[in-house]
Amino acid sequence: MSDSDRHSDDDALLADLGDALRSDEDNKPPPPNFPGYEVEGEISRGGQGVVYLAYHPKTKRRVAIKTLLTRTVEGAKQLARFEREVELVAALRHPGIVTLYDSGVTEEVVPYLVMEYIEGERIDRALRPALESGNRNRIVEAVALVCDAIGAAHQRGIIHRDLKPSNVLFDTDGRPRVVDFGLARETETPTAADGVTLEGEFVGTLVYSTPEQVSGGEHLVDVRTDVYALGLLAYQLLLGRLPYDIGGSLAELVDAISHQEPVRPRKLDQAISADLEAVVLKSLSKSQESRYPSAQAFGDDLRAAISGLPVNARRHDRRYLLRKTLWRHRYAVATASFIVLLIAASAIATGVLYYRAERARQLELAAKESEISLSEAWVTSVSAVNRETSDANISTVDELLDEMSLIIEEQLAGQPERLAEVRAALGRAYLGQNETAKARARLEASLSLLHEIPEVSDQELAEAEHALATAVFDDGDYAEAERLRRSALDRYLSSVGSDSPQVAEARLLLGVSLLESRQLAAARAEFEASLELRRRLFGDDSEEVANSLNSLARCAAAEGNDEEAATLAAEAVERLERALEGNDNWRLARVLTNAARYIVDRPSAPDEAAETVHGRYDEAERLLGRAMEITRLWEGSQGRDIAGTLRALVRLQIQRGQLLRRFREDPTEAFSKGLEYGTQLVEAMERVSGELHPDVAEAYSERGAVGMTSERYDEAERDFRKALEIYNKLYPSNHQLVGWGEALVGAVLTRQGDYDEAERLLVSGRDKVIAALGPDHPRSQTVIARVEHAARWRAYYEPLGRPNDGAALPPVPGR
Amino acid sequence: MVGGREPNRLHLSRTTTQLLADLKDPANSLAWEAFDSRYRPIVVGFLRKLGCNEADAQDVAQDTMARFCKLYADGKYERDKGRLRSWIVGIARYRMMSHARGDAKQIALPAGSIVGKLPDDDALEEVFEVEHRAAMLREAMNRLRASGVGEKTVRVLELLSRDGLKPGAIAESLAMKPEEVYVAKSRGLAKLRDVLAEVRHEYEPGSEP
Repeated sequence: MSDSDRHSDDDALLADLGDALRSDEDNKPPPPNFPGYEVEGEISRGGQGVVYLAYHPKTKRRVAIKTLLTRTVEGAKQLARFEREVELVAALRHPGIVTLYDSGVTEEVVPYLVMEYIEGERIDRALRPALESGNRNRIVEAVALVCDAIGAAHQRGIIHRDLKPSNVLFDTDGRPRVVDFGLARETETPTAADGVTLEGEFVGTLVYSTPEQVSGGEHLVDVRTDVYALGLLAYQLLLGRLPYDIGGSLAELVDAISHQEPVRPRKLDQAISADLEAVVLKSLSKSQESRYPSAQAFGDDLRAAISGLPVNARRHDRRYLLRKTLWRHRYAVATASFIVLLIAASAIATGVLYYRAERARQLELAAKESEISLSEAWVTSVSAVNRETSDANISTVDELLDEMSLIIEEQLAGQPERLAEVRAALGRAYLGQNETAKARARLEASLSLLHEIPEVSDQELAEAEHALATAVFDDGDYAEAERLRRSALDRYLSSVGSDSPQVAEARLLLGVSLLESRQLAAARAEFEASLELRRRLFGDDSEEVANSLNSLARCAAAEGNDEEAATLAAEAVERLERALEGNDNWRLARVLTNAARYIVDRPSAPDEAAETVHGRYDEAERLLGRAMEITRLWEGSQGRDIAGTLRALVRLQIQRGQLLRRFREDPTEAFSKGLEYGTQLVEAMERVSGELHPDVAEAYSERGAVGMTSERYDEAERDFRKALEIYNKLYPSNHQLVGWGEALVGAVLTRQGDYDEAERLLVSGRDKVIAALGPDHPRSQTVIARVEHAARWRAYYEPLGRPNDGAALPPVPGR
Repeated sequence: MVGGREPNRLHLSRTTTQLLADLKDPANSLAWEAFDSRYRPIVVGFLRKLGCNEADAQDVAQDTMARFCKLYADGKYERDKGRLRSWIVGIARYRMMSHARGDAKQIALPAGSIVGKLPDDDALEEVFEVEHRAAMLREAMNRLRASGVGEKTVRVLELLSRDGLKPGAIAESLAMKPEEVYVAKSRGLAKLRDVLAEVRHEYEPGSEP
């Protein structure tokens, strides 16, 4: 037998053996017991776990159940963390994301997830024909859809961390669906240092790891980790291979991921456009800073790349931008450029001189005229409020601002400095009115004007960027807010130096942006730097230090370090108290309320002694009591701050009641207190806002929540109906808040066994909320969850022929 | 495997022809266990390939083996009238259809099941044959592991075949030198061929001299 014969025989034997071993795995071992589900078979099996196909008779739903062999939930803390993560992921509703229904832990303490069952295949297999036929647009569109899904998750603060082709399925409609959000991977990605001890099966996961995962570990993971993974997916789908050589040893692979530049896509396939190449390579940058700041930004650029629009990945290239613009306006350009050429030759020389002279004249004139025209603009716009002297029909602040904007733009044209200033003021005014989009437009316009003025200082620009960042942030565009905050920080660093209060504040604000986009490690670094600087500049016992501590506490809470959050918040309280020297103010009340909230929100571990938890709640109650005292002094008993404190008190009593119930103690007193605070909340809000106000409706629903938890369903129903009534009077019938009120009433009717009416209200409420806010809004997701929850209750209790009367019935499945 | 007890090795290593002979004695439970542990996984795999879910495959396989035993004890199987394979396939197919009709516990044939599309026994037998060959390979691997060839060699073969890893990655993950991986592969495969020949001899009726 020749060598090559032997080789091919060996290969054939290995292939048969591989099939045999894999097919064996298909048939054993028996699946674990998943209460409430009937396992029908195994969908897949890997080192990380097994996916079973199962049937849920209660909901008549076919589901996929995935066991997570890489996660342990043996300790109470681990279990609590797992459950919290599941809760987060379960709230994700997006057409591109496979819905998580339920979770649990098997008798062998293996956690499992119950997910929507998708018939389909892995994205790389599904798109193989597109790759082979050179249908790149189809591939890019699919990856952009995956970006949409991941972007939606990021907006909810959830990072996938383990994106790879096997985690993206193509459903029967040809739509990509992402599975396995963050939950599958608990253990840190091994790094180069772990080297040779790795099991072979791990290699498959490693090739999809990011540079920060293999070199730095899990604490560097943020939304840009997913961006990289999406880039890897795009690369692989477009070229049928990974961007670096994966044939070598593990150490070589780690090295390639960390340092080796990807093979340029056009080197492998010249039909790929330079734009598409730039976009994919940007997403695969080794440094997180150079990647797209969000999955959405990557998706947008992918779409731009296949539609001939300029891509952000090349925006630093001016010649490229010019070329793109010319190409888009190629017909107009052809005629215009001839005329331009004719006049350009003579115009350039004189033009420059003219510009300089004109500029000097304008500045002089502007200085003289600006005061006059600004006051004119002011007078004109304010007089528009007077119906008798104006055609404009102005009755609200918003309308006044709109009118002012128009007049001022007209009157101050030609005075860029003034106009920029007024635009900024208008922007801030809109912000105060929660008119984020208008605020953003004004502040953007103000900033771009400032950029055109040569004399403007870095500090002025930084301030304008900060103002705009606030609007952009409120608009939910965290990536852009982050960019602006960074730019402002850089300007302060270069103008006033690193040891300045401005830098401390800029770091704090940047941290807040980072925190919102779940870049927790980066956020923490900024908060810590700000805190450290403020300690040096203002001393430990200062309002500024307290403010930074408060932000750091938020960061810790977001990281899941609840204890640290509580400790930091407590320190913030202490520092602020000393700084104020008895002059307690609303800031202190807010910090106290926050400190209490961290204590209340901190999940108690199942094995934690009841006394310990009660001790914590006592402390929270004490803090809230003080906050209440201060707020009453500060704004009387009718201010808005008091509502925040009362709301925290209501929630505290709900938690306490639930704790008592868990330990089979009498929760009546806690719930009664909760109702009492709820009543105070309702009264405070009615005093502040009058009876017909959304805040009043919200107060009723807070009190209703106590009734709901304490199983006083009649009282809860009354409160929820009152909230609904208010919403109905205030808004048109298809308004999302009307929907929200309906969902509240529907939820309580479910508990009372009035399933038909409940279902009608819940479904109607859900549809209104979704129609107004889109399916991804947190409120939509809450309503969706309520409808599903109600369906489970119905499925459970209806066959028993009675509503849940609080008797010892089996728990609702999935709870 | 029945009841988790390991059947007598003596019976396990007997040829199928010998086992069939032993089965003529209805009291020979060891022979039955050996036969069952050899064929039940193949039947389960066969049914799974036909689209049965795992639980149903287990049920139908249980029925099939019991039915086989009964018919065999009644003397209904005649070697010269057909191969053992065809006979088991026939029983399994019949039991599966009767499950699907609801004669026993109701099972749902998935939409993608190939049963309805495979009217001819040859095609079904081919599926069974694939499972049969896979079972022999797995048994050969078990024996290889028990032969003292070394766990690393077995791991190398598994990673190469089941996981499709490259030798470089295997070397790294098992803390071996790359040349050691090649040696292990070539020795392992040579030994596997020997063991496989032995298993084939036992499993395939009539293959003995």
